[in-house]
Amino acid sequence: MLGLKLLWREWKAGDLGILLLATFLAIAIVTGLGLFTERLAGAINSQSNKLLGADLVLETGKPIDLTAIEFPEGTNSTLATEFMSMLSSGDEFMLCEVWAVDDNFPLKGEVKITDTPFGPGTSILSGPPVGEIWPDSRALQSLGIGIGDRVDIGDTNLVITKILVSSPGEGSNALSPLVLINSSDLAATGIVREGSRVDYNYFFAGPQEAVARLRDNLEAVSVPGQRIYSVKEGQPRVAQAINKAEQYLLLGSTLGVILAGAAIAIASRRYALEQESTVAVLKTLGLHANGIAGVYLVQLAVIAVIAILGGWLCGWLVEKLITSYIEQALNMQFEVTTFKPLLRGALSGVFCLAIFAIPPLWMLRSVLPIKVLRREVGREALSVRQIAMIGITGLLFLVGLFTGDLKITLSLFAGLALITLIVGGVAWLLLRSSHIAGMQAGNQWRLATASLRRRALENSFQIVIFSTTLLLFLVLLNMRTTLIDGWQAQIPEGTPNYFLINIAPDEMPEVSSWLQSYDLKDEGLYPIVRARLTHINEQSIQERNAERGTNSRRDGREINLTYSDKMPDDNKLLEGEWWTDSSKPLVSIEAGYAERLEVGLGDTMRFMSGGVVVADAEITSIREVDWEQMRPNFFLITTESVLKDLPAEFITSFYIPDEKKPLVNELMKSHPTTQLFEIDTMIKQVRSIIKQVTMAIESVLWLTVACGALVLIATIRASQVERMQESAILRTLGASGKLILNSLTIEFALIGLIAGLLAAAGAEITSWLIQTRVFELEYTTSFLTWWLGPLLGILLIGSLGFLTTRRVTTQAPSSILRELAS
Amino acid sequence: MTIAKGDSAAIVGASGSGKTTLLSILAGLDLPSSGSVWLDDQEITSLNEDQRAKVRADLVGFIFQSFQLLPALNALENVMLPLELAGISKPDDRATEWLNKVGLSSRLKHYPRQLSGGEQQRVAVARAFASQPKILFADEPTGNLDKKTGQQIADLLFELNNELNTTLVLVTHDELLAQRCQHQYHIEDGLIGKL
Repeated sequence: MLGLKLLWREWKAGDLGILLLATFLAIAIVTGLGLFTERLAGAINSQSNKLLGADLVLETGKPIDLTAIEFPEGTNSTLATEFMSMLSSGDEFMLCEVWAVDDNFPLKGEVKITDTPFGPGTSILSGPPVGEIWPDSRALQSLGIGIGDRVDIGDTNLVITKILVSSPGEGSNALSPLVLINSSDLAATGIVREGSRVDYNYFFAGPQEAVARLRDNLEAVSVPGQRIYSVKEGQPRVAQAINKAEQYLLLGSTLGVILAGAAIAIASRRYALEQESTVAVLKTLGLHANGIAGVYLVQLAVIAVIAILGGWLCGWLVEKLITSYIEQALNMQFEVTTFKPLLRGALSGVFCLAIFAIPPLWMLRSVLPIKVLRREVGREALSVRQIAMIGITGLLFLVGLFTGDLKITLSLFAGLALITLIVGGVAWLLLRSSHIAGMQAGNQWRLATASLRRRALENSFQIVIFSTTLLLFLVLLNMRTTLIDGWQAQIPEGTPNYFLINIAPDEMPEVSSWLQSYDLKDEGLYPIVRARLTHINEQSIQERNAERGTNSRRDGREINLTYSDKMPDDNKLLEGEWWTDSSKPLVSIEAGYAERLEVGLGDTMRFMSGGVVVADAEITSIREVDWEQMRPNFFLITTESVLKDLPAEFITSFYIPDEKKPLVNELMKSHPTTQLFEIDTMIKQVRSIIKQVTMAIESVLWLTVACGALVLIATIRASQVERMQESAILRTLGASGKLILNSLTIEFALIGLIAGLLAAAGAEITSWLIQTRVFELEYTTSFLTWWLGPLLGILLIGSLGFLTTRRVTTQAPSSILRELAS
Repeated sequence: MTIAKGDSAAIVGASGSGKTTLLSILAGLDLPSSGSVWLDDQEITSLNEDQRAKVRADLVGFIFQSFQLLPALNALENVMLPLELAGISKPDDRATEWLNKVGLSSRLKHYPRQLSGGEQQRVAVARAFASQPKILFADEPTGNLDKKTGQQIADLLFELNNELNTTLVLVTHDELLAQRCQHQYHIEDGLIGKL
């Protein structure tokens, strides 16, 4: 009870408030972040999985025996057989990508269908019934038919009942129209036979852990040529955004907890010092050491409980606020989360209190009662070094637990230790020499610099804390800007949202002028020749695969080739040189493709297109392609001489704002053989993910800033007594309140300036290291850091210093001295 | 140096002569480098800090020059504190009674900083007597008070001391206060002499 009574009153004194707030923030950060990342990852995954159509996909050229695979409880599967086939109606033919789906399809997401070509879709949770076919608008448009008509596919004939708008997991071959049929009709088509080119897509879904186990089971029996992927591998853009965001959030929350820990440590130490006389009185009155420990442990327990409840509530509210906004804005449903983040948050807070607050308070046990009579008497206690060791070890453990990575943990600590040493050293030197400047200046400057110099060691310590806090803030800010700018740059406003393909050479001028007439910006027209890679270094692909023991059917598939005199702007040349002479048969290959085919510079490739063999082309360059760009990208680009005699179609991509979208009908009417497809949905999905991730990142940033502010306040408060005392004595000696206040403000502002400058320098180095080593991003110097660091230092520390010490001028010096003496 | 039960003794001497050190050793707040101290038939110099704390809780009351009230507790709670530590029942009733006795019935819920110096020392006196200690140690009990208030506190102290037959040991500069004690000890250069 005594502990509670003391707690209640001491609360107003301030240090317990900081202790509680810091613990609360640590818990709020960890909880909020945990809830948010769990939900975010869950939502993004489920949204992406809906697009993928499953949690896990196995793609294979030969059917597998599902009965041989052990299915963990809760998992289910469906098979979509994918192949290219000619659809025909009367005299019209159209090569389409056909998906034969069974009754379980789709496992995740929805099939969208409509009754009017290019109309908005309605959702349905199944594929077409037996005997029916759902072609997309492009197929219908090309065949010139509609709902109710019949269409031939292979040896059978199916009736069109709906128009397909989109289907989960759709298309490896986005350039062809897509049709869905029921798998029961597959046999009747007679298309799937031994040797035919068919992809078997097995979709699996279920609870996360079960799917992970299933994946292990599948991988155990997988053979070369099979591909097993989830959304993380399936959609690199989304996966990258999630990964980088997760890394950032983790780093941000770790730094937040470190800062909260520092605030707790500083506030507890000050609180413990303040409590020494109370403890001495209690001991004089007969309270034993364990009773003293009990008093303060009860206080900490109450603080922990309040902080946990508050932290949970705050974490939940922040998370709710963001997710409800996202739910509304993006029409996404968030899955219910587990209690893990709550537990983790509470444990982090309690752990912070245990390692940072208990040691200094524990020391109170050994305060000697004689202190009640002799203030100056010391105590047998844990030394500052021991307390620091406990704090650092505990923090190492906590950060290690968070990051789960010894290397990151140790680098973080080595970095912080280095920063402390360098910043402390530089600050001390600057402070020691500050009087030289001060001597030339007026009274208030002289007082300020004299004070800086006199307390050079304590001030250096403060500067280390201030500048580390500012540094962490600047680093987080830098990274936030880099990440978000990077993502937004991937899909800036005006990113092409339509691809127009199958443009015949004679249609090119008209299409170009149509685009120009409506002021639509296109990404250039690229010729496309569909060809199959048949030989590498004059050896057939089949032979080569057999030799290498691979069974990659895709290597022999038709791919899109283009020719160009110059390399696309956003491609990067990794090896070799771009050609200057386009009369030679040369080819440039994308790096990933080259790796998969195991080819390099000097190797030759032979293609076949429409029965025509294309001469061997030599690989003279290897390019990196940014597939994230919404523009035509190519695995292979040849010189014009390779493809000039083959029939080519052209492709382009362009952006149409919503209000101009009806115009595309005009284009489709005048050029019925061209095909148009829209990637707005995909762009919107990526944008929505970026938006969520951005909000998460910003909330972490602000929570961390709050922790940083607490550290600043705690540190300034820790030096407050001494400064107040000196100022009161100066006032007694006749110094005006204004002079003292000015000199204090100057002193704090100078400390802030030094801390800010050192923080900016440190932030540059740290950001460079983190961005290039951890996030693998390119680094550019941030001018923001250089002016924001010192400015924040001066403003924040100057004003906090001013606010905490201004009482010295409003209160009578005698009363301040009396108060401090008691 | 022996002080008998119910006696009052004053320790006087110049600043820095060791008065307060002597008091703290007598009260078991500090240990002597040699020699022994007996309180109520117990050799407290052979006890450890926790055992001495128990002795203090059971036997000893304190009054300090700078009052040493806990700023976080109000007058009533400050007086209740030793009662609670000694495990005495109904501490609030007894504390209220003692505050009434020292003339602070209207100040029960006031915090130390809301009380004058004299009032604070009255609370301290009430706190010291509330657990009815056998021995009361006072370190310059009037040292921080003006003459009139100091006089009132001294009156109160001796009045209660007589009433409860408490053994009183006080350290003071104030000769008048010292003379009100049955015994006076003078301390100079580490030597104690009885006056």
